[in-house]
Amino acid sequence: MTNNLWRNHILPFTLLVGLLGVATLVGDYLLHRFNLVWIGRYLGIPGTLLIIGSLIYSLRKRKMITSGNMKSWLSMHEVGTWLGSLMVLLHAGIHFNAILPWLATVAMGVNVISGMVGKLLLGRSREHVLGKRDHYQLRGLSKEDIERAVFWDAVTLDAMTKWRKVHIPIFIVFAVLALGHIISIFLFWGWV
Amino acid sequence: MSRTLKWILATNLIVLSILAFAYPHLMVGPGKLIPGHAKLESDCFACHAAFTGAESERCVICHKPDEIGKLTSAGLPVQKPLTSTPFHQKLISSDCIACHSDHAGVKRFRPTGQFNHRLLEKATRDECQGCHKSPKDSLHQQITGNCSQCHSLDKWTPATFDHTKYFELDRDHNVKCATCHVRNDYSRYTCCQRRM
Repeated sequence: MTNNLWRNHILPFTLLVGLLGVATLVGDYLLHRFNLVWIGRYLGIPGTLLIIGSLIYSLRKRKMITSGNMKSWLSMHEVGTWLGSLMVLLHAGIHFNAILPWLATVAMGVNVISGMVGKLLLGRSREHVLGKRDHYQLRGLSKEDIERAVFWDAVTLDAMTKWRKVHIPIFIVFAVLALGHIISIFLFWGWV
Repeated sequence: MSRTLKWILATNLIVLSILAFAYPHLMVGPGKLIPGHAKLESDCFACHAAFTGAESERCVICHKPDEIGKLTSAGLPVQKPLTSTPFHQKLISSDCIACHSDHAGVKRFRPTGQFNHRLLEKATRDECQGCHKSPKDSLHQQITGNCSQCHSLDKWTPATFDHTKYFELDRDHNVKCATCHVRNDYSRYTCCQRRM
């Protein structure tokens, strides 16, 4: 695989996903270090609200609502889901108690990554591969040579396209599992 | 989304829902129960009321307040009591959840063993020596009762005793009690060996 796609697109994507992981670990460590674990316990609520709020973009995209600038909603969706996911990850901590909330957390993680693939990789990578094809065409390479030259980039692009497609199905899984977790909390938790 | 994918998703979610009802302690329970409650593991509503959480009325079905500390929930005498004096009989109300939690995951946030003295009836609350032995040091041996003069209901140490009233602990005297009051003797201090 040529280095360009990796360096220009996949590496920044990896860093942003890594940042989410590092922020979770650092946040979790600080909450434990300063005996503030109870904050983590309640971070699930604002995290979930942020994720739900960021869904306005999805409604706007599907024309279920018509107001607001599409680009602003998208930015809000990206920031809201990243921050919301961070809060939910801190809420989950590294404590394995029940299976359902952990399945929801894993589904959320897959959802965040597939969303980032869409944001950071897919569009630019598609342009990158097309640009390369044009460049080789201008240099007079044969069709077979061009396909050989962009082979690994094309394979990566194909994988990303498939990864992107799981965003909505995995979101549905995440939403149902999270809802199950929330219902069980309301059912068994002593709020008063 | 393809029709097949929708079916796979729906099937998985239905299976998960069934598992949540069949194995609630694994699917939604926040960690294991204490060993004594292990048999209640899959019966959430033995302790919980819907939408209001664990409730004391359900605890006292097995743990009768009059018998706590004296008899087990099976009605047998307690062999190794956890406290020297049974005190549950002298609580102002049966609010079990105020002190007790059960699931391992919840205990992380609500450590047990932190007794709230404010839940005791006033007469019992004021009579510390009914449950606690007086410290053996010379200062406390001279005192009987009225512990709240120097100690709070939340914790024994640090004492709320106002040291400044007798000697100001300024920056040159920012030390542990034992530095001046050796062998727990609070009637003297080391600098001049004068009586307080």
